[in-house]
Amino acid sequence: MITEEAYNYAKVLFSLGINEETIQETRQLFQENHELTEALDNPAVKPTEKEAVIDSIFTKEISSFLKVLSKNRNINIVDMIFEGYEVLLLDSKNIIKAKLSYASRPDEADIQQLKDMMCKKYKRAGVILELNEDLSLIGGYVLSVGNTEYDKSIRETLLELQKALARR
Amino acid sequence: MTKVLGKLYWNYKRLLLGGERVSNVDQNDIISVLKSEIEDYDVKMVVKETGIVTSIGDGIATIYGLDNVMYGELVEFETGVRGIVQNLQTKTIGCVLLGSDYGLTEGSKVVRTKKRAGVPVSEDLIGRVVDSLGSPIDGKGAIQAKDFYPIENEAPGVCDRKPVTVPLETGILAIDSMFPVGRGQRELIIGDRQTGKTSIVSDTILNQKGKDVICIYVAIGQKASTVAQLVGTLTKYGAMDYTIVVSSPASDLASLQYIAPYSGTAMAEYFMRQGKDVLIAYDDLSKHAVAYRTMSLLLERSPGREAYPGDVFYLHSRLLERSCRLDEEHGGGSITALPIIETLAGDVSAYIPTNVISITDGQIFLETELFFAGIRPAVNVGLSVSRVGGAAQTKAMKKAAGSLRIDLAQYREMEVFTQFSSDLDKATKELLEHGKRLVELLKQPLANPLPLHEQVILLCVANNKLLLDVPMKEIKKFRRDLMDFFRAKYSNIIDEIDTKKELSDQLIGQIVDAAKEFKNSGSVK
Repeated sequence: MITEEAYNYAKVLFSLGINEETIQETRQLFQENHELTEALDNPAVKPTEKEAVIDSIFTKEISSFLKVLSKNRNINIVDMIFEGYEVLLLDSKNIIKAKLSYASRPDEADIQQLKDMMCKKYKRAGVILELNEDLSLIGGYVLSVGNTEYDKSIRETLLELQKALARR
Repeated sequence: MTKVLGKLYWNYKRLLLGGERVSNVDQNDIISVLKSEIEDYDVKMVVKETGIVTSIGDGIATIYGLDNVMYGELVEFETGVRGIVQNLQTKTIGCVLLGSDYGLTEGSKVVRTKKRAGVPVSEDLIGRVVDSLGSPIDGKGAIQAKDFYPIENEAPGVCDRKPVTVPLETGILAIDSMFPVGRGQRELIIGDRQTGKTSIVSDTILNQKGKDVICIYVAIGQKASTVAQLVGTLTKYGAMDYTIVVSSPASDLASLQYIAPYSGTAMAEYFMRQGKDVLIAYDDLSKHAVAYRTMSLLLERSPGREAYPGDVFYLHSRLLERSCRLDEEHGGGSITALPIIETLAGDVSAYIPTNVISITDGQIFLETELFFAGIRPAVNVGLSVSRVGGAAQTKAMKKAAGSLRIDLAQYREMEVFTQFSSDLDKATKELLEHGKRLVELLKQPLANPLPLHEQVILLCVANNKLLLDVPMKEIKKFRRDLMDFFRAKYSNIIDEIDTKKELSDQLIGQIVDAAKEFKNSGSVK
């Protein structure tokens, strides 16, 4: 989930033109060290001390952005900001992100076919497909692209059947 | 697969046999339905637009995602509960739930339905008590829907309408004579608590028996016991045969109370489009406004005067504008609305009362003082008005009621002098006596609507000062005996009024002569 506020920060971060690797490293650092987020979000810690911590850990190109976040007490939404950044980055590269849930893993040819179909449908150059095994689907698959879900699972068919029966 | 189908079968059976939906379903029927459904079984791809709940509470859910959702669209939560989209923001949407939030948490999935909220409609609704979503709550089984009408619908345009010219008789002498209601009119009933607002509506519904008018009573935020009592009264007098009760009691969610009048109007529109006349009563719109205020404040909309949101006027104007009379090209049906507003300490200048007064085509103002003085219905003749009903009044009633309002106004003006009665001149004394008798005549007990001929005869008798020599205590008995006399001996006069709906001078003469004959017959002391 990305809030409007986080998305606005993400747009600023993206417009700064910082190296992708630096952003990834920073994101990973925050993900692996929750104490860091807590410390930078802690009102008991002086702003000067927070800035000193940021300067000592992060590279110069991203530290000023993080200082603003810390100053505005928005460091707690840093995860969402990076998520928003990723969306903007993929968008700039004309790539789409999707998630495929399945009960039994499709073969590579099927996956490639699915990717090609998505590229064609969404007019994108490439697809990053996240694969996820979900046995509750019973059979078939569920493809999620943004807010849209393409559900061709047995579970959904049975639910539809249940609804149809309940209506009768 | 077999296991899942088995579970499905039991779920289905429980759904049918449990609760009040269907009481006697044959097991073989279930199996045959199940078999046919399974035979037609086909794996289809279902495309859904989804979102997730980010926060939920007090019947309001904030949802992330659902980028293309429309304002007012129905969305379905993973528990099967539905909601209506009310706020569209950049990244999130605000949604009101139409059911329990049990089982819904942060992260619960929400799916678009691409449909606007609506109610199932059919003739089967008549005689039933339903909730805001059109589902039966009277335990009389399912209602077979013929169509599905959106609860929010555009009001008919100017060119689709016809002026209000046909009367809708309430059966209440004080109203039919002075503030007549026409088919397609919106007449507000306004007054403090316990002044007889609902009684006017119930009497009006009772009076529609055999008049080919479908009545819809929408109870908003009422006590369930009050609604049950009203349904009991309507059933007792056989009025449920042409009445639908839409009930959203005080225990309902604010969202359900908010949609109740719109659902009722959607049902009314279904009948109106078939060329039928419909009477719809909203009891009451003050509670409706309060429910909307609750919803709006929880949706974080800016509060305005009395903490109501800015669009509270539009809330009622768009509802009442749907009541109208259609021209012949569009079926010629009509919706007559009787909205009710409850005032606090008689304050008609509060926000909601002034709004609804300005929207409607007149108001019947009921007063506590009059009510406790024994004048029931407690209609304040000075403050009540009907802006379009005059054109709809029958000629007979118009002529009979001629000077009634003026006589009552003169009486009220002179009423203060009654304590000096011994020093008053003869004309003033007569005016006061006449006024007193008129007030007495306009008193009417509950569930006793008067037919047109009775109203006309009584007014004729009163206007010709034939009540002046009848003692005040005897008025009630006199009018009852007089009508029995007319029914027994002068049924031709009654028939003429009912068929011609006109009051010629000759007919007035006949009524006066008959009344004099009755008085001279010795029935009156």
